[in-house]
Amino acid sequence: MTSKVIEDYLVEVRTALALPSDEADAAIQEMRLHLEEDAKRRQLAQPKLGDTDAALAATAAFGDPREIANARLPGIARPRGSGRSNPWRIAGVAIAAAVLVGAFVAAWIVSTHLGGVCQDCGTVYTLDKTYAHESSWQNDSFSVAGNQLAGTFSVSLRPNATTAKGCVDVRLFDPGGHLYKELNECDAGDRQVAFHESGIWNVSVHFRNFTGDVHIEAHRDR
Amino acid sequence: MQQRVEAYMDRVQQAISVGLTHVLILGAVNRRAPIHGYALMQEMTASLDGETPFPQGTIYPILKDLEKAGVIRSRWAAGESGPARKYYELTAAGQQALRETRRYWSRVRDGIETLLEKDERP
Repeated sequence: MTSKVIEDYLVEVRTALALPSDEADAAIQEMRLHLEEDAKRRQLAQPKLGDTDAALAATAAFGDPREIANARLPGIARPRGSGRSNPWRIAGVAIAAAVLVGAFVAAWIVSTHLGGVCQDCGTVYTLDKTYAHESSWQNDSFSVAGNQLAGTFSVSLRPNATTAKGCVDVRLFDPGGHLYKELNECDAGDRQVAFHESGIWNVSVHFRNFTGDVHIEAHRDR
Repeated sequence: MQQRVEAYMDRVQQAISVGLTHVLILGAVNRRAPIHGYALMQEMTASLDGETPFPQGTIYPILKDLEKAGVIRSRWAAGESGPARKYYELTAAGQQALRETRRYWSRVRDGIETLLEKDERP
C-alpha cells in the first residue's frame, strides 16, 4: 500500500509534469512503483526506519517535482510539424543534442556573464537585428533561475513600410517544452508577455519574407 | 561573491547533467535490457560509485522523451515479485544512435580533458 507521503508527493509531481491525463496516469504509476520499492529497500537496509521516514527518504532522493519536470531536453519533446525524416537520424540528433545541450547552455551562460549583458537590469535574452527579405527559422534559448520569479518577454516589430514588409511568428516555449505564447506579427507594434517559471525557455522565431527591425527581449524583473 | 559563484556553477552543472543523464540512461538500458526504471537507476548509481549527480525522478521524463524520439521502446510486463513494471530496451534506431553517441562522446571527452588539464606552460 502506498503511503500518504508518497501519494501527496506524486500529486505535486503530476502537477509539475503537466502531461495529458492518460500519459500522466502511466508516468505516475511508474514513479509510484519506483518510490515504493525504494522505500521498501531502505527499510530492509535500516529495519528501525518507520514507514513515513522511509517514504520521506525515497521522495527526497527522487527529487524536487519542478526539477524533475525541467529535466526534459528543451525543444525535443514538443510537437513537431508534419515533416518526415530517417528515424535513426532523428534519434542520433536527439542524443547528440542531449550531450551538447549542457555545453551550449553553459556556453550561453558564460557568454552572457562575461559579455557585459546587464546583470542588474535582469536582461536574460536579447535578439536585436535588422532584416531584409528574411525567410528563415531562428531557435534560441535562455535560462532563468531563482524563486518567486517574475519576468517579461517582449517583442517589438518595426517593419520597413516602403517595401514588402512580411511577417514574423514568435513562439515561446516554457521549461517543460510546452507552447507558452505565440505571437504572429505583420505590423509595427510592441507585445509583452509575463512569465513566472524558472528553467530553460525556448524561443522560436519564424521570419516570413520579413524586412525591418526586430527587437525581442526577455527580462527578469526584480 | 562566493555564493554567487557557487550558484552560477550550480546552474552550469545542472545544464550539463541533463545531457549526461541521457547518455547514462542509454548506456544502462543497453547493458541491462529489458530493464525497469528502478533497476535502471540502480545500474546508473552503481556505475557512478554510488552517487548520481541528478535526482532519481529525472530519469522518467527523459525515458519518455527517448521513447518518443524512437531511441527506446517500452512494455508493461509482470515484475519478478510484485506488480507489473514498465521495461525498456533500445530500438534498432537506438542501437545505431548509441554507436554514434559513443563516437561523439569520445571526441568531446578528449577535447574537454585537454582543455581542463592543468596549465603546464612556463
